[in-house]
Amino acid sequence: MTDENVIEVRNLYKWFISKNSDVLALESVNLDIQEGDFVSFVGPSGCGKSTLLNMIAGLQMPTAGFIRYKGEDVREVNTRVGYITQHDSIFPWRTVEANVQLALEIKQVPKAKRAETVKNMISLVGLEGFEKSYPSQLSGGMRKRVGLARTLIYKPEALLLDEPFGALDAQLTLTLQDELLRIWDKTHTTMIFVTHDLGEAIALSNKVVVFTGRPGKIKLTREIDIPRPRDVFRIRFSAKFGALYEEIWGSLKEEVGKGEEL
Amino acid sequence: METFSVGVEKAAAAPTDLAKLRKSSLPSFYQRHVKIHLYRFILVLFLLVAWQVVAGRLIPVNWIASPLLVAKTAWDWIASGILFFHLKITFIEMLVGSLLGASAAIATGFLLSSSRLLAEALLPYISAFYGIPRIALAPLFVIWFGIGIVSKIALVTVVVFFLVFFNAFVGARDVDRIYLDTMRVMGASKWDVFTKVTLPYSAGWIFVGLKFALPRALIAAVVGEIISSNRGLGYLLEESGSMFDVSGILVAVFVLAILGVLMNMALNRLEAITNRYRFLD
Repeated sequence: MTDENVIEVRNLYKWFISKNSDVLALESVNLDIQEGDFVSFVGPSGCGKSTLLNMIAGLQMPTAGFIRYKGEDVREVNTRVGYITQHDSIFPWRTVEANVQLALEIKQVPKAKRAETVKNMISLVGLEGFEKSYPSQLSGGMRKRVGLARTLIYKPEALLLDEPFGALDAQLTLTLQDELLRIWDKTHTTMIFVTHDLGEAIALSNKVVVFTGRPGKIKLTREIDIPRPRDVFRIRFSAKFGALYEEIWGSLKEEVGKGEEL
Repeated sequence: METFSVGVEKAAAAPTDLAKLRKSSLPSFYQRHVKIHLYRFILVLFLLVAWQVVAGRLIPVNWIASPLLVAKTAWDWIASGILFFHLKITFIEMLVGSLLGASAAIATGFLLSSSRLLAEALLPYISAFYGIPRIALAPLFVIWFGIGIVSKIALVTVVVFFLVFFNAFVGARDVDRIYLDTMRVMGASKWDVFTKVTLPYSAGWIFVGLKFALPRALIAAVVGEIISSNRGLGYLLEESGSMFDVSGILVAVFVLAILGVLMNMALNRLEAITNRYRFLD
């Protein structure tokens, strides 16, 4: 891990104005994220944490302030990052294999060179034997793995994850968290992880950023100094985890519900 | 507890014959299938016999011909190659016109769906044009493109374009934001988005449009030929009509019906291939 900032957010505002609504989503957000870090955003729903993620990906533009990615202003879609959403975004008309190799097609990697990479990636996420299956034939957890493999295959410099395990059952969530940690330990890809689950944020990250309810402001940034490698299945029972949870929850609970009152 | 254990023993004593059970739960698709085809065949046979009996006895042959006369005309036309010559012309007009119209419709639909400004500016004009019965343009196309095959291709193109365009447009506009964002972050070009997302995503919509368009395209080709032409099935119809040749007209009509059915089957086949991922469990 180096101290170099990959992402710098400065005095950022986002205002959504449409016919029926007028919402200040983010107010005066300042944030630095270092290369190889694992940072989680938590906050009540509607606090703008996903909006911030979208702006880092360059899918939305700030109303005021700026985001720098490796020293450059993000003014258009940021193709150096990978983006994984809560909702299934793998293509139902493509097989597992074809979904995983999508990015290679886009980057015009020759067919002969793709096969090996695709095979490795499918085995990394444990989907051997399902290469020719369509998403409709897979379980929710397997579809998440396809989504992960499809993003990891092009080795993005940073991974943006927007509640990636939100719709899964608790058991499966733990398994996938474990796999994500395993991948991060191996690659040390910068991770920005949006979640509404504080426990998940603490178990996975180096740093947890707490957002206030609407308009979203950064309320607290807390280092998570639990040593690695971590065991997501047991970490919840450690005293350190409990203390951190108490501390951050104390700050978060005042905000929960605020965002939805509007 | 007592009754429960008794029940278990009973079941164990008389094991179910699984093979038999399976057989009795098989759906009766096959039998139904045979019956349906049998009924269809009987109906056609009955109509043909009735027609043959009535022709020349109750109704003059030069009004309704007769199955045998129609068969003879069909045979003569097939043997002399006349039928295939004209069929080929109409088929080419259909095929080329439909391909042109559909591709133009899909391209325009995609273009307008990706630019809301352009869409809002152009849609009223497209809607207004949509209101014109396209067949009314036939005389214009004859002036522009002559009485040959090109004017019919133009007519078919226009008919197919308007019927496919709205579906292609709605289909392309309906594409989930999440798929587009995924593609953008991966650095996809517009062409990538079109071929890898928009086209497969809106295929269902486009096929609905095509299924609606093709019969009307056939009508357009034939009407175009009837209006002015020296070849094609429409010409054959017109020619037979002017000679009061009822059996000739009927042969042309049957061939058109068969052509329509075959095209629809081909389209269904194509749709099944592109849509196969939807029907897996």
